[in-house]
Amino acid sequence: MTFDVSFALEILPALLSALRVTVAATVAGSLLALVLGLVLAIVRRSPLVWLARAGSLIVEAVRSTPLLIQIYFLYYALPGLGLRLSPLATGVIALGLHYSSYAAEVYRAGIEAVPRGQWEAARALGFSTPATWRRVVLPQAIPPIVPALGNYGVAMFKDTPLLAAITVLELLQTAKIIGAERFRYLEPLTLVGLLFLALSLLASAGVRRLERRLVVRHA
Amino acid sequence: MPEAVSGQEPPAVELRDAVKRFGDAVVLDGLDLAVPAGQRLALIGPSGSGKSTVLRVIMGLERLDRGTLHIEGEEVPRALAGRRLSRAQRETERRLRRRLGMVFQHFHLFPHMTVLRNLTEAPVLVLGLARDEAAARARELLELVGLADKEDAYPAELSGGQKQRVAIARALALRPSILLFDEVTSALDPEVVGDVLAVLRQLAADQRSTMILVTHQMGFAEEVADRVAFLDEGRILEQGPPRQLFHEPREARTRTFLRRVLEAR
Repeated sequence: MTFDVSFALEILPALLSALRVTVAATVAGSLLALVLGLVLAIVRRSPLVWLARAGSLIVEAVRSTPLLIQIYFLYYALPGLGLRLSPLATGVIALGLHYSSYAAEVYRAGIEAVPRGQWEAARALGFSTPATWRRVVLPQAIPPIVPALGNYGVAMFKDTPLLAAITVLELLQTAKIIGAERFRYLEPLTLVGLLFLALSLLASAGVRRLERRLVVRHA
Repeated sequence: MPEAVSGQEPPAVELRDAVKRFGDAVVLDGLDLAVPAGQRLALIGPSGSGKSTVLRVIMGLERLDRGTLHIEGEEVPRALAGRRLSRAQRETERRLRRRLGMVFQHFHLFPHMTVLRNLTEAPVLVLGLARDEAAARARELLELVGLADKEDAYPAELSGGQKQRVAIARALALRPSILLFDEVTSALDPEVVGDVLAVLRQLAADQRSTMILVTHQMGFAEEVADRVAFLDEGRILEQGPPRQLFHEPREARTRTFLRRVLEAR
């Protein structure tokens, strides 16, 4: 079986349009993970013990089960709860939820690296708790963890093919359909691999640039 | 506790039967302390005697296990173990603590903000001042501590002595009526200690606020304080005017402590 370049060029537009779905799922999933992860990290430091425990339980449960199972679970469980979402929306929620538990751990590391004296100074100046988070703790906790968060974003991008399991027409699913129709898998799968490679490298370079800019600003 | 308070004005700060434990260690052991408004009180004593804990309890950075704290005559609400304060109690607590300012041994400036921003953030957020109003006041304070040219610098660009002077200005920005100084020269290089002491001396001369200083600078304490209290094992063992406490201490332990400190120099 040899690589047919003209066939590859013929199917490229279809794959590029599927790539848009993959990228959209990654971006939306990442935003969800960033927000939810921060909420989880803050909740776990709540003085309300039950709330902090609930936060930890969610993080542990999500981290201890496979993403693919979570995707299937949400796909079949959400409609039972009266939430009828498209496969793509369900997939975004699954990715966001899954990666929020990792993001929560990263945020935690960043938050714990802020010296206790910063909290005390804020308290001595009469800052409310929300103001202390917004103005003092998070501006110091987040810049150092941007690279780690960015790497999880790249990892999420590479996990998007799992959404094929619930019929999302992302890159892999589209490639498989092309393969089934044309009885050729080499070209679509090779292109899928190359597209992932190209975008992952691009994203990693972006993360590194962002990292450098943050270092400069805080030097 | 007999305290020469002039008129009917309540003490600026009053601790009664204050107990604080860290695990098995009893750091404050039924401590009583009343600081009349406007007094400059120096707290001295061996390390581990509870001096800094007294300040941290007053500031609300540590919670008492027993006893009461009054600020300007009002009791600061205290949550029982494992409970939270009600909303009204939290409001009272914040209102009372707002009268306090604290300067720390290790400065604790906000490293991600310029000097000016360090000074304006609390007035804007807590007192609701407009940015320029807060900035004008901050510039006056920077002038006072001799750092008018540093408003755009970040804390990392300052020396230890400069950082501490900024921290003092930051504590003053909220116009507190009670100032707490926790070993503010202990983390500084010897050659800049003088700059910080000069600022404190000037504050003591200009401001009418109550000051409580935890310090190892005995000469400074004698010069600036109206009263010196010697802490030992979580209680005030002896207190009095600086001249008397430093030169004619009644208690043997005070004498031992003072001898050790003076020898160490």
